[in-house]
Amino acid sequence: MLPRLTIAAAIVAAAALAAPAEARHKDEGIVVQDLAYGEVLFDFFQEDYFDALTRLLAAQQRKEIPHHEAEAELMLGGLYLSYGEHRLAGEIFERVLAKSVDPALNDRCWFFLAKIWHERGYQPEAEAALMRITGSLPRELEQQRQMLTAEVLMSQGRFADALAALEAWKKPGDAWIGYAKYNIGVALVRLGKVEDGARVLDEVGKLEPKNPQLEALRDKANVALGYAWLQASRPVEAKPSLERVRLEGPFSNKALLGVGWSDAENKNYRGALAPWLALNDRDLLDSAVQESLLAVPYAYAQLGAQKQAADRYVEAIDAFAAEINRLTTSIDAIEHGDLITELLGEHPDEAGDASGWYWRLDKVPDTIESRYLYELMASNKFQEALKNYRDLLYLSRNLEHWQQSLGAFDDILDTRERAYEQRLPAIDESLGSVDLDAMMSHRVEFESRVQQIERTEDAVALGTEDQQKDWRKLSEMEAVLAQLPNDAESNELREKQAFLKGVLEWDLQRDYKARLWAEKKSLGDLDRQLREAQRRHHEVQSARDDWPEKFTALTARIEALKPRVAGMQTFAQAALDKQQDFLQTIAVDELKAQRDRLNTYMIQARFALASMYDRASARTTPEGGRVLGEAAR
Amino acid sequence: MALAAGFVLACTLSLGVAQDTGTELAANAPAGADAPAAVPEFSPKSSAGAQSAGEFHALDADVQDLKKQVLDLNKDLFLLEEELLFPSNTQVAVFVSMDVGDFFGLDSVELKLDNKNVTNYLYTEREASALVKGGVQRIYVGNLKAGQHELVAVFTGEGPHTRDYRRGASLKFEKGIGPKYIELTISDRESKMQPEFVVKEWE
Repeated sequence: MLPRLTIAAAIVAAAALAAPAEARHKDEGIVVQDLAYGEVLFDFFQEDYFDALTRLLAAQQRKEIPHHEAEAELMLGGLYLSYGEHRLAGEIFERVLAKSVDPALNDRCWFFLAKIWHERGYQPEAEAALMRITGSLPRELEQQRQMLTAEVLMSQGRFADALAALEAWKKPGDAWIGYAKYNIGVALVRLGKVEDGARVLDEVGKLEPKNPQLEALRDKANVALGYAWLQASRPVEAKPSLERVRLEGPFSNKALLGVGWSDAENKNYRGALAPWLALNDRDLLDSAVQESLLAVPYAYAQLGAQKQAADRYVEAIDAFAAEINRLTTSIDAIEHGDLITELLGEHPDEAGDASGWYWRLDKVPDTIESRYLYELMASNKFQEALKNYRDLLYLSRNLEHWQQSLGAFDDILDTRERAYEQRLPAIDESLGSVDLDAMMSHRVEFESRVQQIERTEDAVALGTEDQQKDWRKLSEMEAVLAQLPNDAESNELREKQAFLKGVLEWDLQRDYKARLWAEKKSLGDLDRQLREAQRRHHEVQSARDDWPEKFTALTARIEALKPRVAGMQTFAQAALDKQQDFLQTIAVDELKAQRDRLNTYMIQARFALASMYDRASARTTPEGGRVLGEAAR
Repeated sequence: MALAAGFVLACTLSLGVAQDTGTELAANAPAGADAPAAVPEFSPKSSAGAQSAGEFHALDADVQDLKKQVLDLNKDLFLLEEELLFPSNTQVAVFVSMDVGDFFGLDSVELKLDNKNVTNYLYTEREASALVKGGVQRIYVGNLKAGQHELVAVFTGEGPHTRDYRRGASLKFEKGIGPKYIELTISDRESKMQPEFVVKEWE
């Protein structure tokens, strides 16, 4: 029958997802031998993991996939993984891969399991899974594995181990070398080896920006490098790398702020003002822009421009207050559940459709809340929690569908029961009218008659009705002719009778064999018809007798499933609420942290302003007092 | 002026830089009174982060359990639905599969059972692609009495040289006591550079 999917390709595709195209290989051998298995693949290739799992579990229970029993188990593991059921996937891989003789398959399964565990924050489990990879993965996956290993170790705070792993990475591909070096640089800085880390980050910061990803990485490395130097109180070294950052890229705000601090640390406040003032005009959502609102008046104050400093502090206080208000509004909106609705509202079709681990929120709604939460939303923690929420929503809808279906099942069953009761008298009458025993005995008689004819070669018995009539007449004539005198007239009559009887016998003998064969054939036909009649009789009888039991069993199954569906609906709703709470809490915590920071900035601005006002008041200059007094108001 | 000490740049070095993983730019560190100016945060995540990670894992475990239970329930409901709607003694199911598919791009399949139209299925790109990769679609399931029946299938799509293509295939079959499965396979006949439509009965 069908294509060409190797066991390994199917499983690995299931486990892989990143590379579903692998399943397209045409000539890799195995054919799908069980329709049910092909159905699972049909759902799987459309990334309908929930349906594929349901179909596979049902097929396994009904033993519909005898030819694919072994790979079906691995397929199940792969599908669980695709569906985000990493624990079950891990258990199956553990059990099934132990018997596997295909190390490449083994390695790939563990790789993808490690990946999901890492993204869900199960770092020790991810590390253990990575340790089970014994060989080399295909090139692209191998690159990812190396990077994943470092990330898993760094996520556990083991920077020295991460560094060792990255340094042992012999041949990172062009696309990965920058990322690997970046991670090495970060690991070194975190280990306190600033000089070494800076050297590596500097290399990444000078990479030729061949594509947008490399441009972003380059900027990121330069910002990291600049701040590493600033942290080490070496502002002079910090500045060149920060100045390499693109002015319009996502890291430009932090770079501008850093450049300013680099100058400020060298007491070059005039130099610091240029990047900080440039930042002032940018979007206040960015923390670097917020900080620049304080940094600018600070620089003015250091330069002795008290009036400008005071004006800027006042502007900063107003801007912070307005931003704090917006944050408070956003916090209220999130606590009312608006965030999730907006997030999934962007994907109304998908939200109710497929689910699973591979879904990602790739488009953030353009709302005030989400503008504050870009970074949080990009985090694995938020993404994975949102996936769980989405999966729960799907489950909830699925259960709702079944709840309605169960009501319909009741109706179907009732209709069938009524139809059965209505038909029962007719069925019983029909069954009663058929005397199978009499038919059988008739058949036996017929058979013995044919056997007797054959044994005695009774050609007359097989003659036509006319022939038999003629034969009887001619035979009866013999007795009459025997009593006639022996004269010429009588003899002529006798000769005529003998001639006619001879002709008739000739005809009968001529047709005997054909007629005997036809009779035997009729007997065979009768046998078949009788068997069919018996079968149908049995079927009707069985259907009649079995239905009450079937009806009871089906009713019991429906009744048993109803509370299960209702119970699951309650659990799903509770889990959905909890998941929503969790998402809202981390979002609100994030916004509160931003608000706290702004509050702190505001306090600092007010304190600075008050200090300036106090100092000005202590002087006798009326002009300064007036300005600061106005500013204070 | 000591204000500089109060300024904290919120810049956390990102750990995850692989292209296909989320970038984890953590929340800004709150300004501390004695924090140095413009200090990037190189320290590991805060205890608040660890707490939410613990909470995430607890929730994740609950969700995993729930998903498994709903899957099992779904399987039981699926089996019940099938037994109820399509009892095995009357069940007839028709499947569609493709072998390679170089000479034919499937658009639709029309099915007639005993001269009665039972399905007219239009394929999405995703479905057609799933068939090419080796999936088998159950295009129709219904109930039929025992006895002689006829199935006619009409395939439309794009044939060789991007021409519209419409072909039929039919099968007379005997429906017995058990379920009847019929598979319609579209395969490539290399020798004639044409698609071939094969109907097969399964026991």
